[in-house]
Amino acid sequence: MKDRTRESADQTPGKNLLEWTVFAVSCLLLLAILIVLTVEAATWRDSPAKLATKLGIPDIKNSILLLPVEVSNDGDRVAAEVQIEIVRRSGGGEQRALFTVDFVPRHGTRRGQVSFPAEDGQPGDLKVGSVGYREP
Amino acid sequence: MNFSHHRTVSESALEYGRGIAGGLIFSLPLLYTMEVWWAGFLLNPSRILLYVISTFGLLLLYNRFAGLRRDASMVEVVIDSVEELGIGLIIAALMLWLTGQIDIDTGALEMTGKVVMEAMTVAIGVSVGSSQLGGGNDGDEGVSGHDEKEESEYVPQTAIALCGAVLFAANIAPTEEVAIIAMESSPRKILLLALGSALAAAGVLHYSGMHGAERHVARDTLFVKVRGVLTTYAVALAGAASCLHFFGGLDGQPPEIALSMCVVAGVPAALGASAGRLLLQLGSPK
Repeated sequence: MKDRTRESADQTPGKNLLEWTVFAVSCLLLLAILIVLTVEAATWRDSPAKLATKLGIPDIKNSILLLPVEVSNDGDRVAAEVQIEIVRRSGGGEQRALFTVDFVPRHGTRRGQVSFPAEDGQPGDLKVGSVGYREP
Repeated sequence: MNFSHHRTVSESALEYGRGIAGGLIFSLPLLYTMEVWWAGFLLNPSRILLYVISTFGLLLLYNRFAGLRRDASMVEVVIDSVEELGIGLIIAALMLWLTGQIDIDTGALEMTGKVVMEAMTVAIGVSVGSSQLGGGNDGDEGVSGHDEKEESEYVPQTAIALCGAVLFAANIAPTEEVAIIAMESSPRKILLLALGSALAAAGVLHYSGMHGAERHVARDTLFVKVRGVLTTYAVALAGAASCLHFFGGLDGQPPEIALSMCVVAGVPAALGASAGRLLLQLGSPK
């Protein structure tokens, strides 16, 4: 990396403390990256995306029900354009909301939120409807 | 271990600063490109690993032929290359965190992939920045002071051209635009792009009067000039193809579209390769 145009003629050639520190930190980082990638490459099975959806605790404010949604992928392939339908049943009626995520990486998680009008002030019966995705 | 130099801490800090500036300048477009973030989790880990190894090889070539004095030992070249990768990883991680692309909740594999895909180009920028952005006017000609032209310059020039090609091609290779242009352009236009790229490379090398032209190519014979242009363009195509492959751009593409994509990404690569041959080795050994 160095152009070495500032060599000090009166000093014994060698690295100073800062240079050794940067080198040591770089070695550690590079080693960590290589270990993670090697382990992942060795255990790679190329299994299809395996999506799991988890609903959070609903919160009702100003007659609007806010529901956190979490989707995770336990497969080895990435899921793209993931669409998750959330269904709310309350007072004999049914409401649906669509939750879309660009990508859910392998062993990754994405979070979002859907909302429903909730005039009755009750969360009702909340559950996950259809789930679909595209292979990138 | 034998070292060819000694710097004070403040001199080293200045060089690291130049390297960080170079890393940001040369890779900033990539740090803001979402296709590169996606590549970090879309690609197979073994390909990302190969990308790290290839970049390390490229850094070794650059540091051997352009970034160091001739008297630098191979150990120093390796140490410098490791440092550049380390600095690249830190800059990439910091920028991805600042731009909200990674955080504490991001999975280890996703975070590793994103950081690595960004960091490799940053590392090349760090290498170029630390060796080329300095003033270098302290009167130390080192071993670069003599003017004798050598046939053995061909391999170093080719290696430096590859560095320039990758540095430029990496900025557009991850984008979808390359595939769109390749798919929508007629074969005739793709051919014109290829010819135009080769001509542009010839123009930069021999008719631009750029810094370094007088020293590196002005006294070439016609045969050497033609060989230089053809080699530069071939290296540019190889650099473009490598970048496209590592960012997953060639996956699933039919051969004719893949070739067209290489030509499309080869336009900036040819400019980078030719300008790199002149500019990236101004202070380097000949």
